[in-house]
Amino acid sequence: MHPLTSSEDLLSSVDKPLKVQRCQETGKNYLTCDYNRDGDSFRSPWSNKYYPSIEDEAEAPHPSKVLRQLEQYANDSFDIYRDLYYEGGISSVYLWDQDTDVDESGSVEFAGVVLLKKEIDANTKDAGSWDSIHVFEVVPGSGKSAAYKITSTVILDLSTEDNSDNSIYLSGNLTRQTEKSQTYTDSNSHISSIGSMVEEIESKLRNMLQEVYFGKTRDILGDLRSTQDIEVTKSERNRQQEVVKGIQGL
Amino acid sequence: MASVSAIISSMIKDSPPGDLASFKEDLHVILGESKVDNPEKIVSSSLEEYQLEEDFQLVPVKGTNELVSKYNKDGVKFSGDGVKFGYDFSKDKAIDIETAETESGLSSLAASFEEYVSSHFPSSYKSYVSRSSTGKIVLIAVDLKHNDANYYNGKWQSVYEFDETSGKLNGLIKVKIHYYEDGNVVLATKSQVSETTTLGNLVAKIQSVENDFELDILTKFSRLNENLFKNLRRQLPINRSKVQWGKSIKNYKLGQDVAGGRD
Repeated sequence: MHPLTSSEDLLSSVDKPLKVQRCQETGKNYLTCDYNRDGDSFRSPWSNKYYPSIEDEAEAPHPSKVLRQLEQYANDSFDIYRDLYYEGGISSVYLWDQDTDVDESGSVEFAGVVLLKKEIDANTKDAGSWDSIHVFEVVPGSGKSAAYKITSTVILDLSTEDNSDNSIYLSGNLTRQTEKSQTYTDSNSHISSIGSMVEEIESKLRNMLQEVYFGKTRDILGDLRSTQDIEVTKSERNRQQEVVKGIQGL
Repeated sequence: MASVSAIISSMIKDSPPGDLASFKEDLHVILGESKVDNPEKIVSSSLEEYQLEEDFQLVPVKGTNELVSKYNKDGVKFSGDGVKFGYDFSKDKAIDIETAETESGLSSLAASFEEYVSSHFPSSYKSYVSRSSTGKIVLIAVDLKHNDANYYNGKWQSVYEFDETSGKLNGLIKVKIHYYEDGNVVLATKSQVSETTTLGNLVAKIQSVENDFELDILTKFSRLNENLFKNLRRQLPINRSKVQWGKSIKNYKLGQDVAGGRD
């Protein structure tokens, strides 16, 4: 691990579970992060307004007109994705302009973040939560080709607790970066490309998480303490090798 | 707001096994920017208390592992196999090592516990048996596995107190595992032990308790996997096909709680 050089490094390298805020205009919940924050308020993807309400809404950062339309389209699309894969939970997408305001042609660069969250309290003992954060950049190049760059993090917490002295906590996060070039037709088609990329990345990360949380940690536990006597295991292995050698020698 | 020392001690409790040196460096960086008086002292006293009370250390002394814990603390020094030593908590090493007679009158129990520990803990381990000030028999097993090449570290610590007259065996098994390839995953688990046994059966009882503990983790893992993990995010939508992104996405019929999880 690399030592830190400032506490700002630490804060920016720590992935915290996403918080939920209610949009008063639409009555829907949304997710908050640094990208939709202004002071202590967060912009709702459903109404484009900040909550808790701020004095001068117009002064606070909002996407340009066309980008806001694209943001609504992205939120509607990822809401369906959320419903199909998470069967519950909350999704939010935020987009922001880079140097130039986005137009409908799709040829202007922009960036955004896709957030998804689901929590389960299965019973009084077991609890789980999944938070995914996909920060992306869309960089249209020459011709009708664009480069898509996504940094994805999934924070997964699982726990079972009979009481404070009998408990299992499996918690942490995995991160991966993905880059892809693809053709586009207009600005809406960027959302489709980001959508299929996120879908594929989440499926891969889900498999990795399952492997690390349940497979790797189990193997490491076995490395720490063997339920079998080590000497017995060793001599059994030697005996098997002898048998194999014997058979090969025939 | 919580006091700085309370924050520091909760961070220490959550710290992963291994990498103590880099963890301490990080703490100093954070505290260095704060306006706290004498940050070094806060870190070292919190760490010292945590290591004596809860997270016992293995330290090489004369080529073998010795234990640093409240159980073998004798004045300012720690007693080990035929040695007494001081421990420098800031540098994590033994100091002022001297030979000493350490006879607890439990040598045959210590030998059979050592035999059990050595045959089930393949890595860097230490077994410890002694009599406490209240007359109970204390048994401790600590095992460390550092595998930075494969991005993981793990620690096992079990501590038991056995009361010969009542036959009561009480203890606590704790395991922490840290896996950090392209991310950070921690398994932290503990289990309280409360059993009845005899002195003659003590080591066998501990062995079966520790086997059961491991098997119980595997049972709970499958429950967490089946009941929680699988219900957080599906592998594929219920119709088993991927999402049709684009304009036709409007053709999907959303579930009951369309659009953003109304409650």
